[in-house]
Amino acid sequence: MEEQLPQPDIATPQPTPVEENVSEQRLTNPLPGWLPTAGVILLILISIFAITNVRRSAAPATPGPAPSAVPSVRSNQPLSPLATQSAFLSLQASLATLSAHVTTLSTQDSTLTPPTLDLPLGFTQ
Amino acid sequence: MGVRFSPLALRLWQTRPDRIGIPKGLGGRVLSLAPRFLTLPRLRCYDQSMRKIFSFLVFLALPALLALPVGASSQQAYQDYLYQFDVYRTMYRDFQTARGEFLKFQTLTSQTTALTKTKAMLTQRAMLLHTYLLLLGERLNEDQGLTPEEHLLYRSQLTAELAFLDRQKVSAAAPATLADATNHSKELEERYPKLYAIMREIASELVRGNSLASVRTFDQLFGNAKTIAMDNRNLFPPEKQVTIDRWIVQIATKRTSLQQTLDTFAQTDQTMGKAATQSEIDRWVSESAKSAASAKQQLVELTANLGELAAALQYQY
Repeated sequence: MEEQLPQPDIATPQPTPVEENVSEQRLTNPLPGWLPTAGVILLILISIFAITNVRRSAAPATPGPAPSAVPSVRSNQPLSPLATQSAFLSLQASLATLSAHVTTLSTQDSTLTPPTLDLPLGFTQ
Repeated sequence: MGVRFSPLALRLWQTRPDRIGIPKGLGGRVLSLAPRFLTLPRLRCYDQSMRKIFSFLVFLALPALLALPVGASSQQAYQDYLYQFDVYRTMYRDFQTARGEFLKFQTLTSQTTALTKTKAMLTQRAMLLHTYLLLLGERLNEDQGLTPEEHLLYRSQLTAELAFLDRQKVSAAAPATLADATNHSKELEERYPKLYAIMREIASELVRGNSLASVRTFDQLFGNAKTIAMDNRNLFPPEKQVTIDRWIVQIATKRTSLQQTLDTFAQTDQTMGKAATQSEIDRWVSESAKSAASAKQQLVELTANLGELAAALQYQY
């Protein structure tokens, strides 16, 4: 097997196998090693940017939640043990989102108004 | 003294990707799109690991890059509809001018021009309605509030009307005289009340679907709040328990009232879809709008009440 494969002719201590069919372009113009890594990172950043833009364009502008009719002055009251539970905190966050969403619900969608047409041609006299 | 490479190293170097062509497998095909610099001599020592990392990251990024928001297709459909509407307005003005000249001068030239403009307008009219129905279809695809049965019903109605309008578009070029064009137009005129009812009903149902999606979210949150309140009832003093129970009963009662409003909304839309004249349909459209406004108001109040319940659960007293 060793007799069939030509041994490369190396002149420097750094082993670089040499073959007759190696592309000269690659050997004479090596690109920096960090370039593919940078390319991958750039791809990830572009995808993150695309996702955030998609969510931003899909989500309508939501105003802040409207205060309730009875203001709750409870700043001096002790919190219940529920106040720090994850289920309760999740409920509060979802409730804030829903509250902001329902205030922007449309009761009439003007983009879905059908076109107004004059149907009879009017050629009969 | 030169360095001698092992046969394995030499064999690996000889079988690098540019030698053996496109590697098999999806990962290899993806990697074949990678820049050629991956096979540069400087990187060849970690070709295998880099290849795997790059393929994995491309697979991760591709869905995100290809993902489009759900509303994008309906936005495009809406832009198409607006464009067709502009074209129709222009063609209708041309038709009106040609018709006026024909009715005034009654010459052969004016008659020929009137026929040409009429046929172009009839084709564009069918195209306009076709585009509007496609817009309704896209919005129906995005709806998350209506039931699957309702989706199926409205899609079948849209399909039938789209088929009719396709035939109208094709046959609009056929009339040889103004009388033929008038008869062709009468086909749409006779079908239009039914088409108008369907269009208005689906548009109103899409508004109801939006409300239903929010109501569904509210029901989930209310269920969660009730579960939290019931499971942790003993943490609160008796007076606080009464307050929490009162909030739950009040919210449940209002929720029942909201359901009645939503049921009325649905019935109004169904009646609208069966109305015979355009004026009757428009009257039901107004009633539906009132139901939509009432449902929204009730939902806003319910959400505020649920916020009060959450505030009651947050504090000990």
